[in-house]
Amino acid sequence: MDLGLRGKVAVVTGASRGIGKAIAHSLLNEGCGVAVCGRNAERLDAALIELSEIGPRTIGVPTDVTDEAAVNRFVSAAIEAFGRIDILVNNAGTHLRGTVETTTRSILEQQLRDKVFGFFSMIQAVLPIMKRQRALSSHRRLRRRCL
Amino acid sequence: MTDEAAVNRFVSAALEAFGRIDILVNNAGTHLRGTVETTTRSILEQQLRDKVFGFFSMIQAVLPIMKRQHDGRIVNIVGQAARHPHPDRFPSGVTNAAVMAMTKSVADAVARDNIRVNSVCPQYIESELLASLIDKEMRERGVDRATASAGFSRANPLGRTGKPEEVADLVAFLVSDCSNFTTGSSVSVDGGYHRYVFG
Repeated sequence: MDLGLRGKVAVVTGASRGIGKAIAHSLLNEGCGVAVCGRNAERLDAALIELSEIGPRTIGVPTDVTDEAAVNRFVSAAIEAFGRIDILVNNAGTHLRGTVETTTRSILEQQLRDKVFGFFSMIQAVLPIMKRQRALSSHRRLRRRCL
Repeated sequence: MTDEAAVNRFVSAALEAFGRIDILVNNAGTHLRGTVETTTRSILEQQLRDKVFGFFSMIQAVLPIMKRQHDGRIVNIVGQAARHPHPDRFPSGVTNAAVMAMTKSVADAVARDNIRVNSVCPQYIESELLASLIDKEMRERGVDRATASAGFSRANPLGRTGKPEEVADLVAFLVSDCSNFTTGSSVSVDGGYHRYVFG
C-alpha cells in the first residue's frame, strides 16, 4: 500500500526492539528516511544493522528521551543527516505495574518521566522544525503561483 | 500536599482528633496555563507534583484507615481540562487526565473494601482563579468586567458561571449514602460545557 510517505523523514523513539523497531521497519518500507533511538547502544546497533538492510537512509543515536540535552542532540543529528523531519513517532516508554498501594512515589515518577516528559521533550524539539517546514512549503507554493 | 511527611502528619492529626476518616476530598492543586511550546519542564513538573503526587500521597495515607473501617469515600476535584485539553491548558490537561485515570484505577482496586472513589470536574466556577482570569482578560483586551465575564458565561449552555456551593453540593452527594452505587465515575459541574455524549 502506497501511503504517500516516500521521501519523508521519520524519527522513531524506542526503536531498538518490539513495536518501535516494527514501526521503523514499516516506515523504511514506505520509502522514508528514518532516525531511530534507544537507551541501550548495543541493542540499537543490532537494530540498525537489521534496518539498514531494508533501507539505507537510516541513522541511530543512543538516546535517553528523559534527558532534554540528549533529545536535542538526537534531533540535531536527524536534521544533519536528512535536512528535515516530517514524522515523529513517540514510542519510547516503560509500562510499570503496581496498584495504588504497591506503587511508590519513585515508581510513579519514573513512569511519568519516561512517557510524559520523554514525549514532551521530543515534541518540543521537533515542533519548531515542522513549523518552519510548513512555512517554507507555503512560501514555495506562493512563489510558484506568482511566476 | 506534595510533601509525603507533611501529608502523614496531617492524616495522623485528623485520626487523633476524630478517631476515623470516612471521607477524603482531594481539592488542593494549581491550574497552570500554557501551550506545549510555552510550557517548560519545570512548569509541567510543578503541575504534576501538585495534583498527581498530592492526590496520590493523600490517597495512600488514608486508604489503610478506610480499609480497616471497611468504609470510605474519596472525591478528586479534577477540572474539565481533562476532557478538553485546549492548546493553552497543556499542563492541566495532561495532569487532569492522569488524575482521572488515577480515580478509575483506585476505584476498581478498593471497591470490594467498600471504598468509593469518584471525580468531580468543575468548569467556570466563580472562584478566585476565575476572578483572576477575568481580570487578566480585562487587562489584555482593555474591556470592562461585564464583557470579560461574558466570555466565560456564554461558553456553556446554561449561560452563567457556577458557584462554589454548587460544586460542594455535588461533592456532599457523592460522599453520602445516596450515591452508594456510584464509583469510578466522573461528574461534570460545568453548566453543560462539555461536548461529549459518552464519558
